[in-house]
Amino acid sequence: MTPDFRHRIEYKEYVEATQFSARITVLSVFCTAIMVGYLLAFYYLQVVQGEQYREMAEANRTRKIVVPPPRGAIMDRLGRVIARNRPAFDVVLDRERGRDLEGTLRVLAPVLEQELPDLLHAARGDGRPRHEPLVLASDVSLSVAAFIEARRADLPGISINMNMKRHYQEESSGSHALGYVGEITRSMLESGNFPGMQQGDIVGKSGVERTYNTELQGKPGERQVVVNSGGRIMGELAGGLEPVPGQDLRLTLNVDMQRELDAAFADQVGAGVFMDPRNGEILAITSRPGFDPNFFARRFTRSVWRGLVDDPRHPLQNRAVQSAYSPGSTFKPIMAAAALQEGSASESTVFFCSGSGVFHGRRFLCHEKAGHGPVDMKRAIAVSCNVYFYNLGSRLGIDAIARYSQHLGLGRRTGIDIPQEAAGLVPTPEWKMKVHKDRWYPSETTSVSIGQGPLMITPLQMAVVQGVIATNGHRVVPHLRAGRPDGEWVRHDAADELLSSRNLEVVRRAEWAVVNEWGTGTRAQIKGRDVCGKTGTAQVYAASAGTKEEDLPPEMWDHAWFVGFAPKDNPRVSFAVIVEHGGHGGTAAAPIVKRVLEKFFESEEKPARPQAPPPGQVAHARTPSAG
Amino acid sequence: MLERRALGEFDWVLMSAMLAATGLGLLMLYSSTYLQGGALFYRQLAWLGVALAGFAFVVSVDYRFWAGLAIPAYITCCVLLVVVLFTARVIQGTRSWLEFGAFNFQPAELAKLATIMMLARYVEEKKGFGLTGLSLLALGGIVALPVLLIMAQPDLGSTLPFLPLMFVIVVLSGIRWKVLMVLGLIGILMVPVGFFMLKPYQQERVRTFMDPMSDPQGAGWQVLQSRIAVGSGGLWGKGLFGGSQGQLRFLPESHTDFILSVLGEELGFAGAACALVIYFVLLSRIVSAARSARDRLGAFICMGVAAVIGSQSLVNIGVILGLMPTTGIPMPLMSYGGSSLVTTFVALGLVLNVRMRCLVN
Repeated sequence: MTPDFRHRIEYKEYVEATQFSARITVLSVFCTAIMVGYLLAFYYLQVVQGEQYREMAEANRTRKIVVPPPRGAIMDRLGRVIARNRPAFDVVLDRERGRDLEGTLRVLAPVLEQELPDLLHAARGDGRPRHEPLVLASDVSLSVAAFIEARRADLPGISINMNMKRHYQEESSGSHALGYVGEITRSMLESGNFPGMQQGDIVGKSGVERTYNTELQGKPGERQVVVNSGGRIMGELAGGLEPVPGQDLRLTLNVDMQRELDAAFADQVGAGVFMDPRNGEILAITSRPGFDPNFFARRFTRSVWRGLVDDPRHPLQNRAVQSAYSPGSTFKPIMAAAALQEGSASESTVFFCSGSGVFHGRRFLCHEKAGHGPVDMKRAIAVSCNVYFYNLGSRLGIDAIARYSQHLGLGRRTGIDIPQEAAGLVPTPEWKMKVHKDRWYPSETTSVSIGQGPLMITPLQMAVVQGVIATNGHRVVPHLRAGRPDGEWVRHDAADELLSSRNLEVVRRAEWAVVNEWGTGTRAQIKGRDVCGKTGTAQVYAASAGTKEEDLPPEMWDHAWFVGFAPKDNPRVSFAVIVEHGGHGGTAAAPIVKRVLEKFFESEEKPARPQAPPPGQVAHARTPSAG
Repeated sequence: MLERRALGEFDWVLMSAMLAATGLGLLMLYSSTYLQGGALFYRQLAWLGVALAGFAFVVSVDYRFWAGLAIPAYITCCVLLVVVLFTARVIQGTRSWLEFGAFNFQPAELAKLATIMMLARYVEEKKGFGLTGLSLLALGGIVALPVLLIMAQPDLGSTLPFLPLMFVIVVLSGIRWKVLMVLGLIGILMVPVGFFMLKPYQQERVRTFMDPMSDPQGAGWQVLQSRIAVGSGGLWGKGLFGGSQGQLRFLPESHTDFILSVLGEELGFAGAACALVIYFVLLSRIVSAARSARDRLGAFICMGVAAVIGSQSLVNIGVILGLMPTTGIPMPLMSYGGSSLVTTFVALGLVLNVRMRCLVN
């Protein structure tokens, strides 16, 4: 090429005329300034704020997964398992791994007994992230689970996820004492009584499951996993926390007696409590009708729940501790003990029963229209003579009756370790003024003397009272949890100082006569066992004189009580049974008591071998995670 | 054709900076994609071969010869841009790719190069020194045609570098500062109008840039995650393959537009500063080539290339740092993508070409 000087000169002129160089400098400075700014920005972001962003990156990358602890098992007094965890199988779909979803679900539908459109709908997942496994069917049978496991290759994306569900071996027997578990409710979370729990966690909702929830549930563990931006787990970090399994809970219940008690009730409504009066250990406790607590562990539908709640017989109500009844004649031993202690009467005090008596200007009837004639205390209890106790009531007065009742533990909670216990009611003039704004009439004392009027007692309280009578005033706190020192459950506070053993012996002899001589409770008699007891009928409907109960419809029948203890000397069990609308205590309730007591004496003599918790308690198997 | 004297002027510093940036990009690409099998890495290596061949080819022939091809090249590019509009498959919402078997190419990238050449040719052949209204219109027209075609794809990000290109050419061809200020004012007044012409997703990007926490799971995700990635790198970084943000896909587009975030995360402030220095050297060598050019053509080619590469780099880094809304502009030389790599290599080849032939012979 030839030199082109003309061109060169022209370019030089151009460069000068357009301030070319200067303009390039301006642009370069501008650009350089931005780059220096960027350098400072990098420094600020990475070095000055680096720590903060490192934490954010770490939070991005790791997730904490809560590993639920296996819930402790519940056993009876001999270590026989009542509630444990059973493996439950869920059919799970991983949409990220699925192929030919419709074909897969077509195979599954008949196995799961679901309609294909429903399954397809479930498989859509309603906007949940794709990596999140969907539960197509929960708690399927072992055979369905096995079928699916065996055909995994043909069912891409489908797997079986095992988890633990609560299982109650005895089904509805003892259901109220055990309670049930379920997902924690919002109100429970907000109550602050369940620290560290989150929505979806399983907690005990009633019975001992609720009371001892903290020990039973254990401490949840934690897995630290690395996730990608889609939330899929890519790996696990060391340093997770193993869950601490819940402690097993041993109850004082005797499964044999419990079963017998529930069976003896058959489909009658009512409640029963059997207790060791020496230490307060509940041997059997029931409320009928029962419910199957397994319902709550399964997916239960709204209709099942409504069925339980709306049932006119209120199966969820724990009648043994939550329901207070009029005691009727079962109050008479308490009256006798009070009168003896107060000196208002002695064992040999005799009143004449003509079938009725006038007290405080009103005529009160005895249930024996013909009258019992002259009766002493023992006979009065044995034949349940009302007139005798009207007289005792008049001598004692309402204040003394209330004082002794309260000393025996009536009118306040016994302190049993299941929730929502009712206190019952011991009426006093103060109570009446406060609640009814009216003064106490002496004739009301007469009603209370035979266990009527506003007096209300729970079956549990009744069993405790009979225990006090049985053990010379030794009042205990009834409880279901075994293994604590007895002393912790015994209250020496007043009753044993108040009631002398000599006076209580009078009552015991009378109760013995009720069952074993000419009394009303002979159907509870067991040869050689010296069962002591007292029948009672709690009025539901004040029948006009002359109407026979048998002529009334059953829902108007009286409640039938039978309370007592056994054996007479060295008593080891006290009890109270009420059959709602059962009619007479001697006919409806006493046979139930007899059956359970026979079981009691049988297990005393041939104790079932205490069992260690079954090996490989499923509760402690670690739940494998899907994927 | 390649004279000894020209070889003596070869700018080894520019060449080194270019290769250093490319090497760093490949390293980060490997680190951020090896979990997905590394196929992208090898594909980019193949593209690098193409780019180097193109680079050598461009360097070996005098840039004035290439400038002579500016008009047919420009027309070809515009035709290709029309062709993609009608034939291309829609990928990520735009029709911008020409597919040749395994290799896809974006004509928009080539169009940048052709436009630089056209602009330089126009300035070279224009008589007189100043910038008349007519020539301003002509320059504007040269830029507007490809820009409109690319916008039709629609690929707004790729049109962005044309604006600074136009600006630099206009400033250097002697526009009076007063006129420039008036034009600038008009430009600023157009900003709100422009905002409402943006697609909803683009408006969303601007909004989330202003306040990334307003929707951290949605539109603000990229901006936030990029900032977390860079920030968590600290002074020395988490080491190659050690960046959780990139590796675990918290950072979308980590191998393309956000490759610098991966670098910031894995190599830390030290790595980021190195990258900045490399690009600073690269740009200053291009500007120095422009200063030493022997004619208007060479000077404008160099400054055109500087404008395109410089603006792309600065915008990309700005996005990485969360200082600008997401634009979809790759980092020249570092981001994954064949068209961009080849175009940048060819453009830098032209700059070296100008530099080599700066002495009048």
